[in-house]
Amino acid sequence: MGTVSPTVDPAVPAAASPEPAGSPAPVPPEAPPAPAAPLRRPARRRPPARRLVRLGLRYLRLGWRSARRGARQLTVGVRTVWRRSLSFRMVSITTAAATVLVASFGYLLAWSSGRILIEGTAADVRTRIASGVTYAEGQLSVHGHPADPRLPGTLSQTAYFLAGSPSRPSQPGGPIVAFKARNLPDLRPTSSEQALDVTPLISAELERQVAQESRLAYQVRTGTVTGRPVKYLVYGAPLVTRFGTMQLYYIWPLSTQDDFARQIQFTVLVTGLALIALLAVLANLVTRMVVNPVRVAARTAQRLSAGLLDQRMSVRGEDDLALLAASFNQMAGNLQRQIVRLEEMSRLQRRFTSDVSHELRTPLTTVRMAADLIFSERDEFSPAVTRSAELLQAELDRFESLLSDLLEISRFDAGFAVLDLEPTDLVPMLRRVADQFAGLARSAGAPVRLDVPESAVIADVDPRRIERVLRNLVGNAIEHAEGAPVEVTLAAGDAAVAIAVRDRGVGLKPGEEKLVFSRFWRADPSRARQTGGTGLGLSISLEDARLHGGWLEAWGTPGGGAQFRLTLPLRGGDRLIAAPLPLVPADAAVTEGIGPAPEAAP
Amino acid sequence: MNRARPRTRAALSALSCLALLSGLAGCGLPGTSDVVVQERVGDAALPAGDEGTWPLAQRASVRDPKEFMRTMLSAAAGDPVEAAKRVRSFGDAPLRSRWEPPATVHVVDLDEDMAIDPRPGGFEATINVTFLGELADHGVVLPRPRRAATYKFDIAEGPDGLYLTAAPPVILLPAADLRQYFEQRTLYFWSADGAYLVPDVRYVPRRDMPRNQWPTLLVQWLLRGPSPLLRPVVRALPTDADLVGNVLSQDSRWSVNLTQAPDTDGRRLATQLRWTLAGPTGRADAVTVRVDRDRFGDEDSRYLVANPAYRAEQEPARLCLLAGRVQQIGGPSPGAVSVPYLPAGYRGLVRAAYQRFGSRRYGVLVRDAGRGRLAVDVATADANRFHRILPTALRARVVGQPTWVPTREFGLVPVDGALRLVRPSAAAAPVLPGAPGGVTAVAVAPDGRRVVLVAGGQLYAAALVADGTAISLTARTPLPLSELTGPTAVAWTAQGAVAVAGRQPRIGQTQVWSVSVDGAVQEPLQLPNQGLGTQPITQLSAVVDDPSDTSPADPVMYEANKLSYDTVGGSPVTVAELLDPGPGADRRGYPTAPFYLG
Ligand SMILES: Nc1ncnc2c1ncn2[C@@H]1O[C@H](COP(=O)(O)OP(=O)(O)OP(=O)(O)O)[C@@H](O)[C@H]1O
Ligand SMILES: [Mg+2]
Repeated sequence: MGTVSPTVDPAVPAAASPEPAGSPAPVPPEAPPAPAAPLRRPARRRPPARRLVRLGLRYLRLGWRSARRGARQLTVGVRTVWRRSLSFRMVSITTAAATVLVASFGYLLAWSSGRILIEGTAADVRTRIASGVTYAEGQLSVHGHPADPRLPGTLSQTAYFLAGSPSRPSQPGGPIVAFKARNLPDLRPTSSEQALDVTPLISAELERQVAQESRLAYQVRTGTVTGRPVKYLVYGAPLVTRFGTMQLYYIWPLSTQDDFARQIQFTVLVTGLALIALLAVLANLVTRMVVNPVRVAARTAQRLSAGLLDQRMSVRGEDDLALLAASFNQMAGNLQRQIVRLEEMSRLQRRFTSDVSHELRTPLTTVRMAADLIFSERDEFSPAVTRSAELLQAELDRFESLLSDLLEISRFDAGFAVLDLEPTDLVPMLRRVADQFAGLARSAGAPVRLDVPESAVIADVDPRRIERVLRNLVGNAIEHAEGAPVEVTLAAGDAAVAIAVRDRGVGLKPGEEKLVFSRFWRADPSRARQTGGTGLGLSISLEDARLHGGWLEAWGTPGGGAQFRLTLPLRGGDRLIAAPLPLVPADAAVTEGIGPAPEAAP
Repeated sequence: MNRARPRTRAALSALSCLALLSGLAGCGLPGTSDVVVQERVGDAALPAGDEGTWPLAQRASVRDPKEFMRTMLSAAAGDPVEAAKRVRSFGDAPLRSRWEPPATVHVVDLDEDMAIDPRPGGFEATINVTFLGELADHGVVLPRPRRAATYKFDIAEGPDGLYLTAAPPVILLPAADLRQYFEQRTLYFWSADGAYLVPDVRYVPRRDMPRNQWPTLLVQWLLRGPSPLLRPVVRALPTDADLVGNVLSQDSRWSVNLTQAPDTDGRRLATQLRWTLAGPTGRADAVTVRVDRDRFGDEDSRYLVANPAYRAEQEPARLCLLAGRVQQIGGPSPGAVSVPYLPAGYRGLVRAAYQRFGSRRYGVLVRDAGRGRLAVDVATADANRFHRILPTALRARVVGQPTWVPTREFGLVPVDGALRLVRPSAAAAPVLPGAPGGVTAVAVAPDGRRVVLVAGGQLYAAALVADGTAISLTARTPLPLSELTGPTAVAWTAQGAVAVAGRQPRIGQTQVWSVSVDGAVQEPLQLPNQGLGTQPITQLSAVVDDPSDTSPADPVMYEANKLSYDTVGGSPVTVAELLDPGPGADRRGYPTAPFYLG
């Protein structure tokens, strides 16, 4: 789990490293010798040790790199899990907090227990050493000179006695008693373990405190006097004799206390780990208790949004989660009711539209017949009436086209639109449409330029619908071109064909790219009345394109003109992936630079 | 491969977790800590006091060859183990490497007149010595037969004084140095029947051992057992234990720590130690014997009676014979031992010896049996009256001064050169087994175990063993006399010394000398110019000084030329000094055969 820390072989000093990490490699061995140093011996061999070091370093770097990669992967994985799983987050936070708590508490416990053990032992030793000092001072009172030949004997006997056994060296578990005379260098240190050198256990500071400051003092030291390391409590006391001051040391093995402390620590550790594990499990359980209903809610919401409006959550209990489920269910119910109402309303609207259209058709036919009759006889009427007949004829034309548009829309809405696919060459169709608008284009001063491939572009389309779409697009373009030429481009790809209609007229304001496809939407209703548009053309075109499984998209900038692109699959039923023509024309950047930036406005 | 990696990683992490766990659990107490300082104890001010300097008796820069010789010879005084080393330091380099004498330290009597002959580049010293004994381990002096010898030493002048260049391979310790550099002390051992303490004389080196280390030394010696003289009559120590640490005195109480030993009779040991540690001044501090956790003490008064020399402050009665009857010398004294009276018809006494044993009294009476023969009777008494007098079968022309063995129920009488045993219940008086022939005088120590006798002109020390009814003399050792010759009478004057009467050949006069029971310390009891003349002393009587008492010792009484004396070199005891001599006593001559009832 842990990351491998970058270790540097301590045997290689940093300066000796031939290739310090991070800096570019020096001249490779194969590089030609520098011309500035022609006298240098060529191909100076590196000593094998150096090469070995280099090799080692390289492997080290490799390992370090792979470890870092692994760590990065791991971090990414952990981060993903962290982001996705609430329970993982909860468990890790709880575990971390518990670890910190348990560790600090355990450390405190272990530390204070160790301290108490040492202090208890020190108190014991203190009473022992106090009586030991009394005894030793009595025993040494018979000696008045440090050179007394019997003094060493008295010292070792006293040491044996104080160590608990009168003549033999002390038992393995017992204390070691030692005498030292700091101010009497001729008097060698004496201890109850003559075979062992206990002087390393008596630190200089301890000796100074005892010998110079005449204080009782103790210290814990680890010594290997018996071959294996043992912790000792070294307790020193000053000793006043007739021939000078000496120091009495009790070197008390702390084996039992050490074992005890270790036991305490082990218990604390195991308990702590168990506690942490328990907390983690608990946190996991609790999180699951909370998360599971949330997950159920999420799934239900997903189903709901997928249209399964009758999906409900089960409400159990009276807690917050139950409240959530109840609220959710309430929300779902309201939503469902609302949606059903809206659906009903739109259905009614559509019914109304189609009914009205149909109902209007029959009278319109009758009116039409009458109007046609009047129109054909218009020369016999007064000029004013003739003018009215002509107007009537024109308005009827518009009315008829509006009605047919409405019918078409209601057909789409009712889902009755049927696609009549047949392989059609789009090039002649496009020419035909252009020809139809030649007159209008001329009067508008906006010539239509076709850019079509030489060969035929055959696609499975409903020619009636596609021609209608093209008519609308080209008509719109001429209408909004403001005297600038209109370019119609046809391009075919492997699976799709695209027709882009580009004008350089008023263009579209930001956000209008979507709005233009709305029903009855016109950028400038007043102006539309002049040209006589209904605002249904593009929405019908969109439905037609969709019916083919194609796209109809708009692009435009205010003053920079607009481009509409129709993309259709070459074969009916295919899914479109890409269009052979761009939606945004190549010169858009130039034009865009003139107008205000679409995203610049806040 | 890729699939396996996480598993390895998991295993690795588990392993490291385990390692961490065991590491955490394995640390125990901290391995090192700071020095924890507690309160100050005691002041560094030292009780100044320095006794003893080491090494002792070194070759000093001396120019006088006589003084050099004396210093050199005294170097043997001290721990006998190191004696050769000390003496060797007086030699020059070649002698030092060459001189390897036997380790025995000979106690010798050094002749006053040391001959110093000048030589080219130095001197030759000639000394005459008389061997008296050997200083053995544990301060014991073993008496050796008297032997005279002459030794020559070569002394050379060196840049810083004199050097020994040649020396005989022998370590000599002049007796005068023994007296000067050693102190005679007494150890006590329980008698074989466990009833009394028997003193054992030792010599503590005064020079290389501070006085407050002596108790430790004495106890160590005591634990090593008795000297050869005592061995037959004392029992083993009441312990096999060893001494732990030094013997210390605190609040007038000795404390002796011993190791655990299976059968330690702490109380008996305490009594034994109390007497042993008692100084020559008579002060005997109580002793606490500590064996592990057990403590033993000796009750304050009972320890006294364990030593038979203790007299409970009763003054001894001085007695003598006047016209065949026992008379008391001196005026009536309330603190004196009561003297029982012999029946009125009992007469013709020649010599007598009384002995107190608790409330009983015993007497050995030598009376004139007519026709130039002497008879010996044994008398038994209570405090006032001899109620039973048993005649023994002994009839002899020569009967020496009898003695009743203290603490025992028998007496010893030298009869015709044989030492005979008399009992209060039997008429038979057998010869004491183990006694030498030609015994002329005998004296028994207050403990009733040590005997000094004169046989064939030689002084002996011996042990009196009484094993049930079998009584015998063992461990007989001749005691060499340094100057005195022809000992005639002997009496115990101290726990470790006897008074010996004999002739000093140099001045040709009779003298009384005090001789230690090992013969090492010999001193005259009289001043030479107030001599006794040439009259031999026929009887000596003395009372062993009570070691618990500091009062001056009672005088030695003796008989010479049929006269009694109670001060050495004084005038004889007259009838006027007697207590109630009876009518017409002054016509009956002078009192004879003085003796003590102690
Ligand atoms: N090429 C274009 N440039 C600028 N605006 C356009 C362009 N084409 C369409 N529009 C805007 O989109 C609106 C809707 O066009 P749509 O074709 O749906 O309706 P119409 O042309 O107004 O009427 P209809 O086509 O039904 O006769 C137009 O009124 C016009 O404002
Ligand atoms: Mg239009």
